[in-house]
Amino acid sequence: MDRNMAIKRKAQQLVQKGDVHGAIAEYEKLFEGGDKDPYDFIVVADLLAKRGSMQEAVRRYRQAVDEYAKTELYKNAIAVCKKILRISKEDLAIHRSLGELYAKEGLYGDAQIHYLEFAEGSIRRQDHDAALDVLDEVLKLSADNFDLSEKYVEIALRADQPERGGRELLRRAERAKLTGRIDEAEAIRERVSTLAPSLLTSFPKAPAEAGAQGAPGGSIPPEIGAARGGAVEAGARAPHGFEPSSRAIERELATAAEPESPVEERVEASEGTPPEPELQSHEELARGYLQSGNKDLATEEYWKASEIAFLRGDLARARELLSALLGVEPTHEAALRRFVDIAAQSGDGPAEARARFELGEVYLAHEEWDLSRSEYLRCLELDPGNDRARGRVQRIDTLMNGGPPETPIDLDSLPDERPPSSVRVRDEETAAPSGDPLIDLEEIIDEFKAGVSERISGEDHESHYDLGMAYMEMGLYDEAIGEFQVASKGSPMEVKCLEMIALCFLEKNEPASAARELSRALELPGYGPEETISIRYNLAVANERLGNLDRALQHFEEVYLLNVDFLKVASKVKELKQRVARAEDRT
Amino acid sequence: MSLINYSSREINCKIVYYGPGLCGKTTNLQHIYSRVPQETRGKMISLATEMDRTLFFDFLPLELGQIRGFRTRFHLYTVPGQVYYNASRKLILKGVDGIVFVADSQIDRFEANVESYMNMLDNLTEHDLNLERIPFVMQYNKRDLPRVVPVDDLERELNPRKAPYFEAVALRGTGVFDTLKVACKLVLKTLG
Repeated sequence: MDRNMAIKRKAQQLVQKGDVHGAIAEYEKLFEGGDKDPYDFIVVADLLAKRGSMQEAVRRYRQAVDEYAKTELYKNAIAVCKKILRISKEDLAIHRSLGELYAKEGLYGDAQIHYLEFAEGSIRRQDHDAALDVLDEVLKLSADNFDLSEKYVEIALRADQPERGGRELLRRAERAKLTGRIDEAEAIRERVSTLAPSLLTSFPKAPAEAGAQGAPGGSIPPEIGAARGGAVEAGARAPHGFEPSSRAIERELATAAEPESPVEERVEASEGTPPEPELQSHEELARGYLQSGNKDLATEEYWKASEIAFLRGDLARARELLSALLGVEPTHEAALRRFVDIAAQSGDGPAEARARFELGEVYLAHEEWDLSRSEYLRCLELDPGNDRARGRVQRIDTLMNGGPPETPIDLDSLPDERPPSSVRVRDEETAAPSGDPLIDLEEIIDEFKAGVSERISGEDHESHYDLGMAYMEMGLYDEAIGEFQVASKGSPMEVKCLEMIALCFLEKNEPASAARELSRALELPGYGPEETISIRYNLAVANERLGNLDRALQHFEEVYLLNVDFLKVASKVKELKQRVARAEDRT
Repeated sequence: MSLINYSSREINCKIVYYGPGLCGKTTNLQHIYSRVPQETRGKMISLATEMDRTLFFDFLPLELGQIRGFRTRFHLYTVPGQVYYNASRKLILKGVDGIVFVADSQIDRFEANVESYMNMLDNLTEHDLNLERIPFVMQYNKRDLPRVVPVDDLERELNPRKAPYFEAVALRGTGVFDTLKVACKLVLKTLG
């Protein structure tokens, strides 16, 4: 451990001296010693990228991805994958990794996008096996994507693997059977009989009465559990070429929203009925699972259906599905959260209050005191008469503090507002001339300022003032002056902004500018002596620095008359009087 | 050193959240932002790189009441954790009134914590500041993850002067306010 620390420190020193090669060599020693810290891999990869060794950089980034994935830090792994894509746009495999990582995070839409990117690339490279492998994964996530299923069959045929295509068709047939669409199931089986007849011997024809509603949970074939087809058998050939993933997904959504038109697009020689929207399939499956007593799978299907509705903006439908879900699993945290979102968006206070109370109950059960308390408090804001919520808050306060909170931090009114999302500012990597040898601080500050100007409008005086204070506290006086100037324009904070600008000028040793700003502040109407006392004091300081001792004394005396205790002004007056007298003596 | 604006009668105190990359500094601020009432906080300024790393600094102003007629405002900052942003870290530490060191409890981040802690000491020295004289709180974050270093070990290595410490899961908010409250109290003490 000590050795590693020593190596890292040395490497950092080399980085600070601008010796990228030396720093990389040091880090390589770490890796030779078995270091697998993903952060170290990233640092080295960044350095390699700066040096222009892109392939090497990608190799190290990949190692970071693997290590993050091993420790289930999928978000970090995803971030690193994106970095790889930025420097190596043609890296096909990274799309597959991204697909897997997003799927593990439960972000199925993103997972599909990257899986499909990978599949498209694989097809371009004539690697049909790889494309089919990854499409297997996509179909698990989007089992009712008719286009995708058809494409899968087409690729399987192109790859001379009719059985693989046949299996996909059988999956759809089983799904149709499961949801009671026996005729469709038969039509699909007909296709299979010409495509891969041997498969039919292993999937015997099902009796017509084995519909969805009657399908016992245990009778669902294992492959249906994961992959749930449901599109109508069109019997039509899919168009050539592979549809870009984003469009495919858009189409999938459009299909659900407008079931009429996609049929025309899809089915050239259709024998079937319109394809079933994915949302509906999930809902039907949920009901099927529920009837067969499988609550977990039913919950999962309801959740998927509700998320599709929510993402599509159909709040009423999402709410309906969430209600069904919560009927099955009342403590489903994500569903309760989503319900809260929807109720809030719909302005349905009573429903939001109820959902927040339930959410509080869930957190309480997990001993998440802060979170549960927050939810009960929000519930009370919406429903002040809710004695149960009030009782819970008292109970939590007792548990946490032995009484109500004493600190000045008021948790009682939690804002609806979410933290503003980060402004994405590209992390350009540059060689730096100043301060840090690798990172140009000025450039970072410029980038930061640019990001801030996108985020904060000129009318947001408070935020500009706060930012001015932040810059001032760091000694970035020019930046601070800029922010205070924006904050002061037409705002009630003009006096205090002018004072802060003056203080910045004093720090910059520009007393004349400081005096000018302070004089302006004194001329503003509507401010009494108490509010301007510090302005007079600072004006005295500025004049003193300018050598205008008479004026300085005059302003210090004004302050003295207002408040003799203000910042030891009495001693300042005494000192100035002596200096003025000495100056007069000399003349 | 606190900044005082007499005309608006406000005291501004600066608390910096320090720690290695990805330890949860920004998450702390985000949680605070999401939980304190709107009227007591300003806008959170948080700019991220495409790698989801803090660009320059995160900033969250909070107003937590009055002391002798002065509004007391706490400015919470985070520093960028990556090794190569040291110039930014150094700048942000300027004029600091209190520090929260957010340590990542995971075993494989142990060295990164030590490294960041030492870097913090170096940077304070450059500002002629001494950790002994600055309100300091230690937060051991990510306690919910598997493979975490025992708190005793973290304490021995990172907190030899036995500053107040808290275990936290910033992502869920656990320990975030405990840390903040103590940091603020310690800073207020220094104001007399």
